[in-house]
Amino acid sequence: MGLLRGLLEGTRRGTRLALALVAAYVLLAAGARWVAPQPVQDLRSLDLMNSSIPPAWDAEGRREFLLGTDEQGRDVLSGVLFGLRLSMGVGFAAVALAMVIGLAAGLLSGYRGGWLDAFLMRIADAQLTFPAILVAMLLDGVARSVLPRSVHEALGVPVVIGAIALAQWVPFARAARVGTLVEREKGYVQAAQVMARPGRSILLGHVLPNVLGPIVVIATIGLGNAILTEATLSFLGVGIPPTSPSLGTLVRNGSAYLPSGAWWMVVFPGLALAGLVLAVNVAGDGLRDGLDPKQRSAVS
Amino acid sequence: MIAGLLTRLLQGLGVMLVVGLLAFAVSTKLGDPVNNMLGQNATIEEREAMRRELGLDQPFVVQYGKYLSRVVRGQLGVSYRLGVPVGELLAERLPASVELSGMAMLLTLVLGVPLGIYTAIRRGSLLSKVILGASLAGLSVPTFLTGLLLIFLFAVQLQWLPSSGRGEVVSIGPWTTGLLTASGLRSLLLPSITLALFSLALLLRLVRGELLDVLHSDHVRFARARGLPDRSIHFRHGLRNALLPVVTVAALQLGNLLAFSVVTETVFQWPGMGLLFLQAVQFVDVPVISSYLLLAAVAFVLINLVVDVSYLVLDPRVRSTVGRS
Amino acid sequence: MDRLPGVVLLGAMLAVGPLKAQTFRYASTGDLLTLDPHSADEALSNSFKNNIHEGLVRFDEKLEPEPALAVSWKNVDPVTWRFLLRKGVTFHDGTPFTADDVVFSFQRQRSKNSVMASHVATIKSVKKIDDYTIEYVTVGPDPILLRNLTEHFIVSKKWCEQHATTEPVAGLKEETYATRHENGTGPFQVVERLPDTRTVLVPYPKWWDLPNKKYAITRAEFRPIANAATRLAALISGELDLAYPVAPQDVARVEGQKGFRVIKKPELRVVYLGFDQWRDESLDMPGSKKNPFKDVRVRRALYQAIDVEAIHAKVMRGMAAPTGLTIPEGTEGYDAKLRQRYPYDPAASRKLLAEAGYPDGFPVTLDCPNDRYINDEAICQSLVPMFARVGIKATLNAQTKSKHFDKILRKSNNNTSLFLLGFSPETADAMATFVPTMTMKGEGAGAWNAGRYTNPKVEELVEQIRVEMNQEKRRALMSEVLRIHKEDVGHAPLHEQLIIWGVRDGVEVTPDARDRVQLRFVKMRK
Repeated sequence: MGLLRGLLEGTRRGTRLALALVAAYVLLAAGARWVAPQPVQDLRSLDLMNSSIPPAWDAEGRREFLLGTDEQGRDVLSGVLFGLRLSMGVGFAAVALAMVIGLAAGLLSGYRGGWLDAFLMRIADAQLTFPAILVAMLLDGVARSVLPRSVHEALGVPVVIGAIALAQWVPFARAARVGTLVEREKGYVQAAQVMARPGRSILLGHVLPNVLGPIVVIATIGLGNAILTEATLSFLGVGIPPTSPSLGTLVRNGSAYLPSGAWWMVVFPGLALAGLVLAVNVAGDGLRDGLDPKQRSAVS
Repeated sequence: MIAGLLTRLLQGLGVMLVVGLLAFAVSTKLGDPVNNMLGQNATIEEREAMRRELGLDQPFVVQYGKYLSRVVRGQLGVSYRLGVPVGELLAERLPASVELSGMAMLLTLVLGVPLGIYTAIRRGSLLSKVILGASLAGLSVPTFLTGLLLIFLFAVQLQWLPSSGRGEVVSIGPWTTGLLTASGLRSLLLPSITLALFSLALLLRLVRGELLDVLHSDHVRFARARGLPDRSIHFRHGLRNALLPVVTVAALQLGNLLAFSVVTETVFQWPGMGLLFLQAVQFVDVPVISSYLLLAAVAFVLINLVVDVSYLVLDPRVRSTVGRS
Repeated sequence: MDRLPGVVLLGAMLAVGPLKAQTFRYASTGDLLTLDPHSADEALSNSFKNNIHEGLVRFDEKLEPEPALAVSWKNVDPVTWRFLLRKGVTFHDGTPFTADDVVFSFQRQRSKNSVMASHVATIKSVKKIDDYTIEYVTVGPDPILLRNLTEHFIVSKKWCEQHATTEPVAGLKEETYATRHENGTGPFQVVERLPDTRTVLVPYPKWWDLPNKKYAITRAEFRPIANAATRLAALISGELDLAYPVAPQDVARVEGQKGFRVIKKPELRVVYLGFDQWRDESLDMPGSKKNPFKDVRVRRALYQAIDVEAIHAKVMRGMAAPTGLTIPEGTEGYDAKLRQRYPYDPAASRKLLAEAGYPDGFPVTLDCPNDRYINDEAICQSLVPMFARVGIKATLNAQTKSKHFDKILRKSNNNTSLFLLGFSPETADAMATFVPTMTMKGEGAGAWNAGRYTNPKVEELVEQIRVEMNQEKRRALMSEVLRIHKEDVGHAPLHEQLIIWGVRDGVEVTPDARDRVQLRFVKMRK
């Protein structure tokens, strides 16, 4: 709690606004099942005769479909809410996984040093240049080659989460490593070692709280990237299996109808996505500024 | 310094070997390796011959060695989807991707650096705020959405620019270029803008960040105190030091471009390697997928190497430490 | 070599006559799979064949047979046909066309790897009488031999031997010289073939029918553009002269655009669903020892769960013709009296399912192509909720056409439970549908019968039709086949497709009912 207050203290109004927006998104998405007008997950609720209805304020719109429907008769608003839930779920899970992997690797690397450190950092360096999309697609390609189709579909979501996490662990590892190295030089770690306390608790007790600040900032930035990556993979058709459509899939399906004027199928999912990522990015920016006033904003 | 470079080179080779192992596993251990090389309709004699050539009864290391020698010679298998040797496919598609990524990189640098400098020097101005806001948007809007909207506006509604394909291309030896025809250039515009947007926003903010840091740093303050004119400070002291990490990021962005080009090539149906790769993943075209793994590894190791070398050249401070790291 | 040297190209263009360079640029959803006329039996590849290769006989604009590489024919006896071949015809490489090529091509087209074998299935043997005369012996009296011969393409024996491609390859996993090179006798020749990117053709200056030519173009460029929106945009921006098909949702836009028009014409193709009717246990219900589709009540239940009018109105936007037959109108053997569908009635479906022992429905995978028929994926997507409403839990598996066909056809042992297919009797005779899709026995049977539907009475009738020379009797037998197949619910028909071409003004082109672009009828004005 003190950490959170510490982070928020130095932040500007804009950042707090962004954080509030992100919180709103999270609540909406988590409550999709209750907030959404149409239970789009249940196929029996779809009626093809409701296909391609424009938003409610248009002459041909209908009040029950506030943002219009897609070509299968699915309510766009509901689709966006469920899609947000999926996108955010995958994003959070991927970042969490990346954090765990990165922390473990960085702490270990910094504490043990030696060849383990060199090895892990070489891998990190090499991997830093592989963008998330490429890693995810390669992983998906390999998964499709190895697994039979039904298994691959069942594992669709974990594979995507794993792929994105794999592309994002390095900054976490770096921060954790630096933090560990710094702490190592400080007296009390050496003192604790002299007192023969087990290594693990040294790490957890002293190092973690101090690296948590930068970690949170990296996580926020990573979240924006993770959400974008997942949406891009779905748009390309190599992400989550289309049975549970994410925002990227909604845009993909809608794009075929853009030239005929059905703009709402693309614009609303797209805006929702962009809005979410924007809010996350601004929040991340602000948190970083709050943490270290000398740092200027640069998302990387 | 040479020692440092050699270490890097060796590490790069190591990475390539590891990735090569993965590619080898994917292409030969999964599914019938003879199938991957010859296709399902080879005769029995051809299969036996290939089996002997692949040395499927021989120790793993020997098999891997033979695989590597084939790869080096450009024999990467036959695409499942198109029935064409993978090497040929990649060679055909390479010019399209290179021109797209190259143009996007150009746009990124030509626009990103000046805009970044401007927003650092004129921090409070309205224009700076607008540019920064736009850059934040550029980082948040997914590439595919940008592409779709650009097509809708410029190709469908206004009809100023084409929406897909490379236009007319001219062959120069093994290369095909769209840069020499009007339709080729017009076709290049929207895709490269789409591709460049994200990198542009990123570079802009990075340049700004670095420049702000440097401008407030000690030795610049001293230079100001000495009475040097602003312009001289900005360009001589500020920019050169700011450029170092920017070069790194720019090079890394090139790698990013190669990956995001998959999306752009899909939206614009640009016949490059990105689209080929996507189709290979969708189709489970194993020979193409494993070749891509290799190619990606090679490309990124090379980029890393180039970055390391440019660091050595640009910053004398690094030269002395590189041996130690 | 995929590109002709510039000199030859120039010579070709000059030889055709002093014409302003008129390049015809067109695009469709997919690419042709191969240039080898015996290696693919898929509509787009088939439509290309007519530009490059020819048979002894060809179709005119009204889909009636007329002489091509043969000048005349006659029956020596009910099963022997003597064809007099045209003299002075050359292949694209200059080699003269003779009877040896006809004999060779027959062996090649019916070799075990050839997917075009069904089109020559009624021919027992071929004999060379002299350099310009051959004789076909058919299995029995064959009323539609001439129609079938329009799909029997002649290749050059010398060329195939020279390039080690005396046998075709089925599918794409391997290529021979004939995959990317051609040597036909047809009005156009390929000068560039970049798979998945572009195929370029120019007129063949020594074509035998040049004096009567009905085309006015100097070059043709074909591009595959899978994405409907991209294809539409390319047409409207002037990059294409013809885009086909135009998706129904984009038709209004093209029609509203000055300088463009949309040609709509019924296609000889019916889109339908097929069922796995031969496995003892459904692929989607492992361990249950049940295959729901073996029961006609289940097939009928699925049929009646389909709201085809909703699909017609919303997915096809009125640009299709719902039907209860798998033979399209305009085919010889079509019976209008049988066209009526079983009614859309989800309550009846549920009742039938309960009767058959599936009161809670069952799971099934719906296999669908996503780049072959008009709005194919959208159609299948709309079917899933309809099935869900009667308890059938369908999982959609949509993929590119080559994978789809590979999966559901014999190559993978008909690895499907429920599939979408759009079939066209390319010779405009019902037998072209009966034999490949409704029978399992006999010559050329079942190549597209992915569910292995078979009924002994139908098999018997088909054998009779094969040799029935009397047109009235033939039609009666065909109606009987249609009636039995309908009662059996052998397939669940959806609709007849429409040909929807987006064309730039100044281009004169007429689609033939098989949705083929015959370059020899394309004229560009301006």
